[in-house]
Amino acid sequence: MTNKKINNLFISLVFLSILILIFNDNLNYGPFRALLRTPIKPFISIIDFANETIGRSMTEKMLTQCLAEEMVENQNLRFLKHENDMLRGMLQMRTSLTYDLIPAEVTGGNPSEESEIVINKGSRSGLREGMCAIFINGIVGKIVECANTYSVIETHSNMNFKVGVCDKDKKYFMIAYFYEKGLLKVENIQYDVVLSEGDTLYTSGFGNIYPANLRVGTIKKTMKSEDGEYFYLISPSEKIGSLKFVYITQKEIESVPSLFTEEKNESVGNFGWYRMFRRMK
Amino acid sequence: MIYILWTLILLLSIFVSVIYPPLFSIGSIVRIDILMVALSLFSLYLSPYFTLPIFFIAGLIFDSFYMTPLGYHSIIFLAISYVIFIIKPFIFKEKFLFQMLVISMSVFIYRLTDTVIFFPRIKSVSYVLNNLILSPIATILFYSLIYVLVKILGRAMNIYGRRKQAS
Repeated sequence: MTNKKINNLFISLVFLSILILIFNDNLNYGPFRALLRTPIKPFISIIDFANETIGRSMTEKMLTQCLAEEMVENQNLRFLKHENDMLRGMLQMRTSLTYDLIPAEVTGGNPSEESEIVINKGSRSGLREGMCAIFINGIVGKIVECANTYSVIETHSNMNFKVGVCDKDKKYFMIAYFYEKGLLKVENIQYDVVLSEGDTLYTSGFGNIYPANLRVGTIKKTMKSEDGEYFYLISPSEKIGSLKFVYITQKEIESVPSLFTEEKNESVGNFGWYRMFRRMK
Repeated sequence: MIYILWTLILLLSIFVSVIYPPLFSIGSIVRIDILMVALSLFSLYLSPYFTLPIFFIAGLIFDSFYMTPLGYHSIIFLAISYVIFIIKPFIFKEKFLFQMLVISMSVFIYRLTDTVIFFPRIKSVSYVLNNLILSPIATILFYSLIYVLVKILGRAMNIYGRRKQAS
């Protein structure tokens, strides 16, 4: 009895299938096919959602990675640009200045105080104590110790540092001393000195170390000391912490007129008790 | 309730067979007929009052996705299901060997029909080889793997249950 029912069910279903099969070419089954796909659609949606989620997370990961790589590359490019600018500045400096410049690489120093730096050239390269160290933005310091293969430079952040400075028009001549790390001070300002904050000061050329017309720094602030005298605080143009190279040069002492050289006079005769001299050219 | 679960499993097997055939294939050529495995096992263990109508609909769904003439897969599935229903009393359906025989027979019938109908269009010996030999073997191997995994899992669960009871 059961078998008969099943047989009937089977035959009726097969008959229905054949009927559907026969009318395949005559009837449009498009909507019916679409309807038949409906039970599978939830599975497709779930898988699509999972794929999309995984894909999105993967895309996010990839984008994060790409961004990190781009940032590293960007930093490298910035570094290269900075280095390129620096090297170009070094070349320009070398061509614009008439002094003999010896390039040297900074190999060490005391980063906390920045009072001294060590360079990789010494007496073998023709360096001597008392030579001046400069770079693109201005003066760095002077050599205080010179070995065969290295030298120690006393920078403008050293408490022994001092340099003769003047303004751009060379009207006012002053001396700049160490004040604190990264700052110099100019004391003994004459009453007629009219300089304001932001004005640049240059080396005056007095003394045997620093050539004239090198930038020292800009006036940061005008301050009043305890005894009522005014002094300028100068921010040096060259930052010691970021230095990688320096130029070593020496002032040509002969070419600079000294205020203290004695004039040679030629005696031309006596005038009473007085002896007459003629200034020699 | 249990029949809803079986229906969902069947729909899932249709979905896997239709939407992701490369996932269950060897080199995208030798396909594993998951639906035939499901069909064989359903026909072996479930009532024909459930399996016959459900395979009729499954065949129609299959046709709607494969763009074969509507009703083609229904007839094949119904035929296979009915054959299994007939031979069911004469075999030990709990035995793995008989299960494998039933599955291989189902796959073979399905693939043979497929080959006979579509061979004039394709005319490829490799197509015949794939359909009649490689696909049934791959399907049986797949089922063996699943069977072993289920057995191991069942045994592990059994041991875990006993230990828990003892403690």
